[in-house]
Amino acid sequence: MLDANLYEEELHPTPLGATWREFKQRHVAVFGLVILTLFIIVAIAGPLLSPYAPTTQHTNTLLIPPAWDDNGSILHVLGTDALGRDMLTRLFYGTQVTLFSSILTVFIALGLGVAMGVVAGMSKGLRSSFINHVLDILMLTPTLLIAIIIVAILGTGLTNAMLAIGLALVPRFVHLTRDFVREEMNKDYIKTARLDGANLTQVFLYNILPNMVELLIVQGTFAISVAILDISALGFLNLGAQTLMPELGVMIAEGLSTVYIAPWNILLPGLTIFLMVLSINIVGDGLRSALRNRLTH
Amino acid sequence: MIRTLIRYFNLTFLTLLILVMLSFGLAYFFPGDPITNLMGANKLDSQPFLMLSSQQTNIFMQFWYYVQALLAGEWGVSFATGKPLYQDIMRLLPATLELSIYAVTIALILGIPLGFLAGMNYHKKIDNIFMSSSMIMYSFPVFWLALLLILLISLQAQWLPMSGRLSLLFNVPHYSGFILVDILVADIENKRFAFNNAVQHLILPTLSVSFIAFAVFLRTTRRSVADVLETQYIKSAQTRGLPAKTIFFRHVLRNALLPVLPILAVQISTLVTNVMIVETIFSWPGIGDWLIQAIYERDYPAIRTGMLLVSVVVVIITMSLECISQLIDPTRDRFAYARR
Repeated sequence: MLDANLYEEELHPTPLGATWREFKQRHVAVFGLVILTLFIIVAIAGPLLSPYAPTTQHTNTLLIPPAWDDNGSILHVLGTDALGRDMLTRLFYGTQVTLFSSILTVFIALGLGVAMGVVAGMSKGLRSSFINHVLDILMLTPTLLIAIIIVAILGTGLTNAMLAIGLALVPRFVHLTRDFVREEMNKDYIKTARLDGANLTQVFLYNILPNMVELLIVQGTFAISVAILDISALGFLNLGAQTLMPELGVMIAEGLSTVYIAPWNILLPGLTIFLMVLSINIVGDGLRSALRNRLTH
Repeated sequence: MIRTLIRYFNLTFLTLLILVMLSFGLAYFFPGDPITNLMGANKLDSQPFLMLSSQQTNIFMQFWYYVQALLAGEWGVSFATGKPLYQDIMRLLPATLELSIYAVTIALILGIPLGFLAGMNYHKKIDNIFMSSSMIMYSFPVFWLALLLILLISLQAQWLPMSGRLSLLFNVPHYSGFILVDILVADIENKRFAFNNAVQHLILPTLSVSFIAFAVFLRTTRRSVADVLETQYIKSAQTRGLPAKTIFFRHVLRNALLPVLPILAVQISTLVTNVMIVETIFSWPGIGDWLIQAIYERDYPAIRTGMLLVSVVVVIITMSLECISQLIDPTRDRFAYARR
């Protein structure tokens, strides 16, 4: 036994593998990941799973309760709404609209935020000061106010709601990137790269960005959960997606008129939003502590 | 200290100036005639507005008159009601402030001690329970939570009223706008019943707003307590054999509380969004409900003024909190805002 080569037995996982090993340690986080994957699958494949269209009105089956109720029907597993539209189908499409519009919003905000953060982090003087003042105002203004202003100028619609929420999300990425870039610029490996003749763009792309990706993923995850909450809230207030679009917040707002006789019309879409946000938060939290543990262990 | 005060005063002033410029610019971006959007009517006979609407003024002079009008309390009139906006807003603002203050107070009173409890038992059973429940709490969409509360507590159980600030039976004269203060000051019969009724109306909205804020405060406090407990000075205090009580009150408590104030400052804008949504659902007659009504009616002067006022209040509160936490703890990053 003694002559076995110790070095070959030792496992050297890649950074990604190490993160996954830490992530697996927390069963709740894995559970969250499973639920999130389910949501993503449903969002992509939902239209294939359901025999109905989200706008088809089954006029002879209005306000049917979910199938486990005595009056329920197996044709509409989660019941129908006041216009006879199948709830399960609408939830599939709603997940699609809400989840993907949030992810898209966050991606755009992330790209813009990182670009501006790099400029703010690497530049000095008036330009940086100007960017920061404007961003502070954006960050201090409540999301709903930004949305109201954008709706007043451009009108309602899902795109405008995404624009408003994207605007509100940009500052947090800018602050994150700027602080990170500031901190890294003083480190020795950046100085080495600079001495080797790399210009600022190269330093960012090849030295700073690879170190920042994990941080951005964690923050992006939390930003997606914020975006889902805000997009559905705007839909609920009739400032975002409009009535015809099966967005989860809009569905809750529509269910309000029949809440006395059909409470599942607001309970189920709300539950979907809640579970989606919860699973994203759990995954984000698990990722964050996995990264922290990976660096300390 | 003087330098910090001057710096924050300067920063607040600049931010407010940009906000006023933005609100002036908004009148040009909104559909319709900019001057009408600024004033809310074709003719207003106050001095700054007359100057503003005259043909000879260029855009810079217009801005100057606009600032004068704002400072004079001439904020234009609403498209929808034709009433001066200043009076409307001054009537509604206290209701919003009241709701926010109670909600933040409750969230702080519960969140910080429980955060300490969780942080002192870091990675033990009680900590895990608090962490998972707070994770669930802040994943709630605030509008759904408010609807659930209405559905369960107001409609099913009929314990609490579901909308408004006070039952119509009570006629409380307007004094400060804060309903509880008004009732205490007012000279009316059935003061106690009115007070109880107002409190009953307050419970559900306050609960919905503080639910999410509580979770955030709990998590922040717990994180900062856990960080403090890992530092060298706590270890050295323990090796010196100080009793746990002394360590807690002298070393942990103060140092762990320091990061909470800046977090409170960051949370203000989220809180305002939540308050506005909750106001709409509970028909709470505050500025959020009013603003959302204004956007439904495309009442541009009201949107412009309301946006300006709410963001000014948020900026002033945030900046004062930042300034205070800077004064308490000079070691923290003093260029968190607008660094050069």
